[in-house]
Amino acid sequence: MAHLTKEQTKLIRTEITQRGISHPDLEDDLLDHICSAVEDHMASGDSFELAFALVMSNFQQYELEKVQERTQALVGGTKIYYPNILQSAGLVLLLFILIAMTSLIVNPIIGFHEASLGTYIILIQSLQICICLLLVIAMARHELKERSFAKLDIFSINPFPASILFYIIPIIFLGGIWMQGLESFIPRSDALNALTNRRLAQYAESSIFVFLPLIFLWPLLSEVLFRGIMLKGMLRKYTPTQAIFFSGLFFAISLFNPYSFLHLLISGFFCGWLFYRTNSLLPSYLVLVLAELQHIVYIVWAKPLQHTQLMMWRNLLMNDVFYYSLAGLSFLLTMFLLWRTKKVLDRQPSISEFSLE
Amino acid sequence: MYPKELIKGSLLTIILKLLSDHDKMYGYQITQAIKQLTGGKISVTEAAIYPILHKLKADGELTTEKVNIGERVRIYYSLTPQGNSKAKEKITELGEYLKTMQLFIADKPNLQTFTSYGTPD
Repeated sequence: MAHLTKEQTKLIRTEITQRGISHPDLEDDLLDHICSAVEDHMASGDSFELAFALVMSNFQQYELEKVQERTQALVGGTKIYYPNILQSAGLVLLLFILIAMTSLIVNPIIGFHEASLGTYIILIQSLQICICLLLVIAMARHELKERSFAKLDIFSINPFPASILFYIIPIIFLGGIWMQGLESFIPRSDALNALTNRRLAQYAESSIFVFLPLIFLWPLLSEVLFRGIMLKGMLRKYTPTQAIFFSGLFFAISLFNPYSFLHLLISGFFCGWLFYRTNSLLPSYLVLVLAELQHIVYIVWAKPLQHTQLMMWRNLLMNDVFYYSLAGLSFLLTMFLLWRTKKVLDRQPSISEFSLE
Repeated sequence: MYPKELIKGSLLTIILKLLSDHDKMYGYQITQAIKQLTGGKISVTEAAIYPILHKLKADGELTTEKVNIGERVRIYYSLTPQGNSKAKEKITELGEYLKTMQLFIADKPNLQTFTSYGTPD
């Protein structure tokens, strides 16, 4: 029985990779299959080159690619890749544990140095997010049995009508106005106020560039985890309303902060709905980046030192009646723009991928 | 060679039957066995068995064992107890189906009489 050399095996492996096979077990299967067939031919006297050519000609055009697609389609619909509500809750818990564990290491350092380390705190938070993101991707990659990062089905980047951007951008700006009003109704504890004040004092020294990694990384983690994985999974198991509700809820509690719960919940529903209607993470990613950017521009610009100063618009107008009228008006305008966005998206063909299993 | 539609529906049963006759088999071996046992009449496209094997594994009907062969890894598939009962069930099912088909296509005097009415003598 002829045995292939290291170089010959490598050549066959390259051929398989070039045909786009990235499912690890299937790659092993096909490599062994082709090698065995080549060895059979060589045993009857053919040269390696001839044997290899004969074996490959036995495959139909695109057969290997089709086999991979079929394998993924057949095997795909199980486990964490399409998480249900319980598994999604498990993922949020895992995120908590991860953040808590990294905080155990990071917090003592911050505690010692107080405000002087303000800049580094934000960078360390970015690092925490990076670690979480890498773990999430590694997990998805394992569950999906997919070696190629680019092909992972958690980065849904599909074309969407660009005209919705004309509505999304003002929606973020208007949301920034009325959501401050919503937050003023949430009761705040003294401890939370002290914490916010301390953080604001630390932020006051930082330049906006320090926040940049956070502005781009945190939305990336959120979108991949809460939309690309959880919502995508739940849309296949529950009705769209239920799926968007739960993915938004998990997103809202993921930051551990009761003060940000409400506006995260609302942005979570908005992002979830955008993802459901466009099957693309880009619009919802943009929403979070813009909202985050706006928030941080407020902070860097106005340099608030007290939590009461976070109500920028109310402070700016210096009158509650003016502010709440403006908030009400911007809320109505937001609803109008949402309705316009829906009109644009209604003209798009519906997304078959999200039909119930 | 039989038409694709006929083979497609029975490929799963063929694979399960082969695996229930052997302790463990690898992909190429299964393809070759199908070719040999059916005298080449059932020749599936070279790699058609792999999606089925992976699906069976994901469902817990098969377990795998990886063995290093020179520079490559060979994956051996074998039936789990759950897979064994599924194999039995599928094989019986196909047997029953074939019996029904036999009955269906067997010559029936009634049918012949009926057709002879229409044929001009």
